[in-house]
Amino acid sequence: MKNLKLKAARAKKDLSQKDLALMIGVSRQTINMIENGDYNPTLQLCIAICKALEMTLNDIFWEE
Amino acid sequence: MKKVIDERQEKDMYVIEHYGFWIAFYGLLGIVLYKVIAGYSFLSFVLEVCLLLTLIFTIIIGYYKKGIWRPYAKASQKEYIMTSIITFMAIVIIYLLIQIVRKVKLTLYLIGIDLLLGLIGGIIVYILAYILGQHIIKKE
Repeated sequence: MKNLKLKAARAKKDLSQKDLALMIGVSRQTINMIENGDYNPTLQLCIAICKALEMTLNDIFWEE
Repeated sequence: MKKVIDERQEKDMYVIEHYGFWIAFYGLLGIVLYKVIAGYSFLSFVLEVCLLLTLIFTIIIGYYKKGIWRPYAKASQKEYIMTSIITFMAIVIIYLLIQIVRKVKLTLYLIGIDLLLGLIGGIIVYILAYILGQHIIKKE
């Protein structure tokens, strides 16, 4: 399932996939795959993404 | 040394290595079986056998340490019996193939010996599987 919340949060911060990837030390493809729902990140990576986007795990990774 | 790949790439790498491992494993098994059946002297493929045994023990010890029997089933009596039946069949088939390839006349006596060796192998494997399986259950 696509992670539109992550995409929206990233866009809100005016960050490209590459910018976010550089901030948390992963490849751009990894961010792309998380957004497209092709890869389930570890909790550690989820936390790094949330910290970079200044949001909580609930905001980005919790599915209603 | 600091890694330059991220967790997803590392996971992808493990998947590639996993396939590489099993290709090497079955390739090696095929070579050893071919040489056994074709009647090569043991000394000519002793290194392949050592390598194959290393791979087998790595898997068995690794699975045992992590409390895993196999990916698709848990340790149980059914699994031990199945493992010993597969061993029995493999031993009988390999011995029969060796005799057929070497053009040995298949007598009832020889087939009986093959079955007996298969039975002994099956019993030994059942005992080993039982001991290993019970330890794995305890670890769970």
